[in-house]
Amino acid sequence: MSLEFSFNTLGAMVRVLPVTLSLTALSFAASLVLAIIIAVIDYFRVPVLRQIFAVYVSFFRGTPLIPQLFLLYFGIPTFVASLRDVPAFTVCVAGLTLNSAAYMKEVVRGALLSVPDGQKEAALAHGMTPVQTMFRIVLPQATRVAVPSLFNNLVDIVKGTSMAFTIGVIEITATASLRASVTFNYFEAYMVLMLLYWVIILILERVEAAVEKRLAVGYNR
Amino acid sequence: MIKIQNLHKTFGSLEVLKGIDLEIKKGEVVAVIGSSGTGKSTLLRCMNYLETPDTGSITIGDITVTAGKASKKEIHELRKHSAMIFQNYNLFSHKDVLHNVMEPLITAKKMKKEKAERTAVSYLEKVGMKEKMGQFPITLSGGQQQRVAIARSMATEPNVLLFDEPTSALDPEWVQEVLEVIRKLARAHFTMLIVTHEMQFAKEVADRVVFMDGGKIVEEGSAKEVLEHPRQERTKEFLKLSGKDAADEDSVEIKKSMNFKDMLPMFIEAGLEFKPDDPDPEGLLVCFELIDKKSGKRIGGGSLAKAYGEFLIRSVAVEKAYQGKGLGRKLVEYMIEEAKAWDARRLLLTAKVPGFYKKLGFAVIPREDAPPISDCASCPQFHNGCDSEIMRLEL
Repeated sequence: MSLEFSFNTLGAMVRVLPVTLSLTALSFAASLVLAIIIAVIDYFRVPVLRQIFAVYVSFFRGTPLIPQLFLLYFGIPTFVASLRDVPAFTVCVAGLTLNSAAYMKEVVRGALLSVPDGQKEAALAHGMTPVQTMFRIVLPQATRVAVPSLFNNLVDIVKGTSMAFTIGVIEITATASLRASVTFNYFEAYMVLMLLYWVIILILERVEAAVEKRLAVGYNR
Repeated sequence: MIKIQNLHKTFGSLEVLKGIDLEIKKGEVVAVIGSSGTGKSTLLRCMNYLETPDTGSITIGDITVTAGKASKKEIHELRKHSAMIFQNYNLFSHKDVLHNVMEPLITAKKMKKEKAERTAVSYLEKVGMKEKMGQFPITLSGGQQQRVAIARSMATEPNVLLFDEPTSALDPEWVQEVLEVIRKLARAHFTMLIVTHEMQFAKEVADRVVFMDGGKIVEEGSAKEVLEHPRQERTKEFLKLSGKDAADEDSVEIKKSMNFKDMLPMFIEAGLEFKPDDPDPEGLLVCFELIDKKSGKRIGGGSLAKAYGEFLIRSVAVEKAYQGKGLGRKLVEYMIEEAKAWDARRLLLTAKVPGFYKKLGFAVIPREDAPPISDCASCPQFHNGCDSEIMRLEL
């Protein structure tokens, strides 16, 4: 065990932590938007678009993340020259987004369906438009239902960012493994790396508890 | 003011409305009665296009919508001319009472927030719910929720209020407070169309009663005409049936016996944990048989026992067709009196529906504090998870 190595590695990882965090934040935000769009299309049974997105969801849920990233980074640019200069970071955000939106769409769809029909009918019967009903009655209530599962997806994205290293993005996993392979301190490098992921996720769990508590207003006697 | 012409609605192959024509004048209260499944609710739901009618036209105030030609905009406009009170209240669970009433004012009526709030408060006051303004629907009783729902509908100042069985989902104890609010609206000459099963209430508030059967209006006229002197055979039949259905407390008697075995099938039917060949419960004191005076049929029963030094209510059941008329309550009250006559100081029971017994004064006690009134280990439910509460009443 080399404590000095551990500390140095931790320091190096903290310096690239913004990469991991921004990958997470961008991918999560983008996949949430995409998931909501697809779920709403599904909810309103929009023809054609609905079928197209169903194929997309099935494909991205049915294939592993690493090949998806490789396909996006190495595969597609061989046909589309204009994509050759897109940085690995951007491709990684795109890959994580497409991957997790496929999962999150089902979460959002289930949450939308969990809002009782009676409340939607009440909104319409009092002269609210379908769009107002969606945004003011259905979505706020669906949010409460979706939050626990969406945090699960967020945790998956945090850990999914470790795959970015396979296409050359220098984030915390890349830093740990590069340093380990130089000094052969594999145990320390990966242990510190895992602890760092764990801390990030522990913080997210705290945030989740606070958010859930806030959203529970009106649902407890 | 309201005119429905030749309205037809089919669900799949089932024709629910077979040509309805109805006119309602401003300030008129019309009650729609009839058996379940005759299209009463569908008629109401077609009036605001929660169901899309196949043919026919609906006029409310200055807008007429013709089935098949209705644009989204027309439907929205039509909906703004009415407001509906639902059987299950359908308040918005994420909004407090005040904001439930304000919501349509802000969205549909495009009111400024301050004005919407003032309006909402004044209508909540009318239904006696102003004090509960900051509470969320889940913290209110069914009756209170329905009063808020009525305030929400009134506040939009619609041409007509559509009531879809407003008291059907309510516990009997909350029905009157809701009916009282509706009576007040009737006195204030709100235009209302009320689908109801409460005949007495219909007679009292409705200017006109419409009897529907098989998707058609069979008879209509003043409340007195239709309910007291019906002309059509179908109406007479329905009123006779619903009269018998109203078998109330006076038409039953309670007989004491030791016929526990005879009543076992009924208890099992009611979902109590008995098997057909069970012996009499330990320490059985007396059984109570609820008898329908007219037919002489047993329609419910219960038993009282003394075991482990405690007085116990061992079983209570009322046949399905007779539930919801306060008969169970009457039976248990009778059993409580009986226990008092035996000098019982307290009464215990295991309840599958604790809410029912709570209203009679029983309180749930923690399992650990309970005397060994039922032998959990031998209960068939024990390993599947117990779903009963132990309750106690101090006498």
